[in-house]
Amino acid sequence: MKSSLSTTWKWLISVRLTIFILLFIILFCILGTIVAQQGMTALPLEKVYSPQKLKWLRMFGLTDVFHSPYFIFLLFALATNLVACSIERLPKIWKHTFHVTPPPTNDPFLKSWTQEEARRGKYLLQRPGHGSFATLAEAKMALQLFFERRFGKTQVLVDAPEHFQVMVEKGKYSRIGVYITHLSLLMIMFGGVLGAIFGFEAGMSIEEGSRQSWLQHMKGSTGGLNLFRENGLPVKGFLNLGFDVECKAFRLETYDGSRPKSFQSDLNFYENDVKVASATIGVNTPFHYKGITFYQASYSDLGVGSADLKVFRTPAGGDHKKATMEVVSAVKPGDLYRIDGNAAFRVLSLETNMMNLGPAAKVQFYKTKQDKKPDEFWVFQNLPGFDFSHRKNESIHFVIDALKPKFATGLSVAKDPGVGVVWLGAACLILALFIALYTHHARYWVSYSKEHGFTIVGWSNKLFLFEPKFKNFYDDLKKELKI
Amino acid sequence: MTVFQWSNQCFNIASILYAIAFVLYAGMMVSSKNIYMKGSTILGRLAWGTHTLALILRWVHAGVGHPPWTNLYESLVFFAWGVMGAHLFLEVRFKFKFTGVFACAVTFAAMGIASLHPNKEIEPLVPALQSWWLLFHVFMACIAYSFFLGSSFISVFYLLKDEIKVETMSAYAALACLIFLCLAVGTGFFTTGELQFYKVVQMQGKDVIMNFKDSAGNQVKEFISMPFTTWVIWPTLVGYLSTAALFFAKKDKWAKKIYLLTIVLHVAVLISILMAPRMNADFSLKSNPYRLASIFMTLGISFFFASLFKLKDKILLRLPDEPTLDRLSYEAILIGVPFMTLNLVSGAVWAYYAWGRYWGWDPKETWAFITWLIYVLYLHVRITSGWRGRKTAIISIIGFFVVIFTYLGVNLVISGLHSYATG
Repeated sequence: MKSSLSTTWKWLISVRLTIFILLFIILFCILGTIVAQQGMTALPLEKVYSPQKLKWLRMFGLTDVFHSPYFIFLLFALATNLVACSIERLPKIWKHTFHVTPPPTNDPFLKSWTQEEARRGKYLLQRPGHGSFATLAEAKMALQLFFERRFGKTQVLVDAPEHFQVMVEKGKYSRIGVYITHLSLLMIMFGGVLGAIFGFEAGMSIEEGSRQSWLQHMKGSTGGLNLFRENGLPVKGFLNLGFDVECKAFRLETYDGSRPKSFQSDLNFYENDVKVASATIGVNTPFHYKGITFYQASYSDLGVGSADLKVFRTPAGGDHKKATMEVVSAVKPGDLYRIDGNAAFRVLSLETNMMNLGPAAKVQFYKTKQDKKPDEFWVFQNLPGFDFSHRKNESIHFVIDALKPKFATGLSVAKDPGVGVVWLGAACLILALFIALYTHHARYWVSYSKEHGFTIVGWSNKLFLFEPKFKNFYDDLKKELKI
Repeated sequence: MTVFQWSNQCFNIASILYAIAFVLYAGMMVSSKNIYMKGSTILGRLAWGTHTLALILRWVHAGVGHPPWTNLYESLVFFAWGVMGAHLFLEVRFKFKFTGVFACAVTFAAMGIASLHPNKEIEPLVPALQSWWLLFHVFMACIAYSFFLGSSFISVFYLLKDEIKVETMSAYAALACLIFLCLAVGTGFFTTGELQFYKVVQMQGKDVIMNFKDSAGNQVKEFISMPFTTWVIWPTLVGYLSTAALFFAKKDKWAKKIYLLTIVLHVAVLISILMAPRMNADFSLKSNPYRLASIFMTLGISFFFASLFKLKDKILLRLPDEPTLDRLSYEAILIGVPFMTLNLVSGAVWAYYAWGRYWGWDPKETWAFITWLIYVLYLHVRITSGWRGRKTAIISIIGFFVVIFTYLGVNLVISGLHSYATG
């Protein structure tokens, strides 16, 4: 029983398992990019694949690889492997690095070791001889001075009459870089899990000037929100935010009339009809409210929304040149607008291009309050004289000043309580990677004995990074001690 | 001249300098003459300096929030700059000059393809690209990919030094060329026999790919008929297949002959495509620069291996020893990995701000992740399992293909399979 447990453990902490899992993750990632994925293609999957093919792909879960049980299992296995490896190796490395100073291996160190033998054991070795020192005490002093100057510290290992040895250790912390790397990856995974369990992705489309409290649910959990109810019944696929979002205004700027340069929405947030927050959001500048993030994702052009109308009043006598003018702005189709005590008008419809004559509005004009048969006629933006000549004898005339387009803003709405953990993990990952890959743990020993003179030994967990440093150290030592 | 014109002029000069540097770096592999040794160093730096100046001028012209890597043309030119930059870094730091020949070839090819691009104007940024993350994210990708490519170049030399037979390497190279060419001509080529170079028309000064509706009402892109190219592509593909087969079957003498013939055909394919804009007004190289780049790149690969038959012995004499090559290739990857991580993380942060999620498994993201995993795998087998030499060199070369696929292939192949946006 015990042996089977230890076999399992050995298997669990093996790099072979890691490689195996990584290879499988790569394989499924590739599959996930060559098979069209659910919800990621412009066309529905039914149009991409034949029903027969789709049935097979669905059966093997290949249309949603990244959320399929085996992919999640692989990630889980990777996490387990990471944890197991860390548990197995971290204490050993910790002990090796922080608690034990390796004893000087005196004999091979001093006499029989050749450079090749040392190298095989990951040590670098130099034997420059005696130098110009007459006594051991002189050499000791010079050596200690050199170490203090170069590293700011020394550790005397041997201080005997015939033999003196000092040692310095650098970059211990480099060794834990790799464990922080793995820990950060676990953190990122954990953040991902938090997001998957408690977060959601949703969308909402709000017309300019209107309010909305429901979301179209696209992915993930309900994130603690209630389902949206209509007439007391929950509507499938919709969530209730619990507050209202109003799109007060939407602005679209274009480069040359076609390509969008920027688009922004002015949003107001209402709780129980009380305005609690407002924000302007744009692409790349989202807004957070109550743990929910609102992104500017898209917009839709709903055509003409309103018009600014110029209303001309010709004084008695019929001279249009003496007419006074006022602008009635944001006239919406259907609303009645009073001009003075008696007259009123209403726009019945707005056209962007009526019979190739440009923007036009159909106006219904009431001369008096009791007017039972109001006039109905068209007015144009590009033909300002049209209404004057068409209804020559009237005293009030209309011209379109401008048509205002109407937009609905398209918002992505998401909640992801794991995102902070992911960022923290990512930051640690990068930092730890730099530590793990670019720094190294090194030890320098220098010994002097009457018999053999100087012996200089270096060791590092990354020999190739250490070698130039050791060479530099050795050169400086020779120069300063005049060996 | 305006700043913009100066910038374009610098790009042109840099391209010419790269071509000369390529010749000198190639010479330096077989001869230690001063003209090659010193000449390649000077020309390489001069070309890269001019290239850098061109990028800076373009950036100055476009404005600080608009770095010169926002569309296809700029991307090619910028990543080419990165590849050469990574080479120069290795050259300065490790006194290793052999990657120069590959770096110059890749850079010159990328610049060449970019220079054929009809629209070199600075295009206004769409809203999603108006972010500082654009600057950081693409820059990190450039550094990472460049060093990964550098590592794979060194690995090729390692394998050469490790006495893998040129015949064996050529067989695999021919196979790789075959696969890449198949991807380059597109799946449609095999089902319809039509080369998928889209018809492009100029509309309001912009190049637009023509669409029309087929009888079922689906949007279909219109292709240009290129009969000559089509006729040469078939024997080229067959040529590579038979080259690989003959090399594997140890019929080296025949294989070499077929190999050379195939390369001639391959050159004919390339020339016929490059000539196409002159013959056909509807053809623009913008219609499918990815395919063109693949055709270019594969030609470079087979040309290199074919030249090895003659030059191998001379190159072997001049190469550093195997452990040095092995270590250099590893060090290039060590530089690349943290930057690849920064690339992924900055991409995630940007995606979070622009799209509302930090990770969405879209093909480009997924392939970047795959690239990262490949090199993570490399580090584990090397550091923990102690793999060295041939095995790690092969992983590094596989990495080359993965990087190229992530950079170009995702947009080329996957958008061809189904309708993801070409990003």
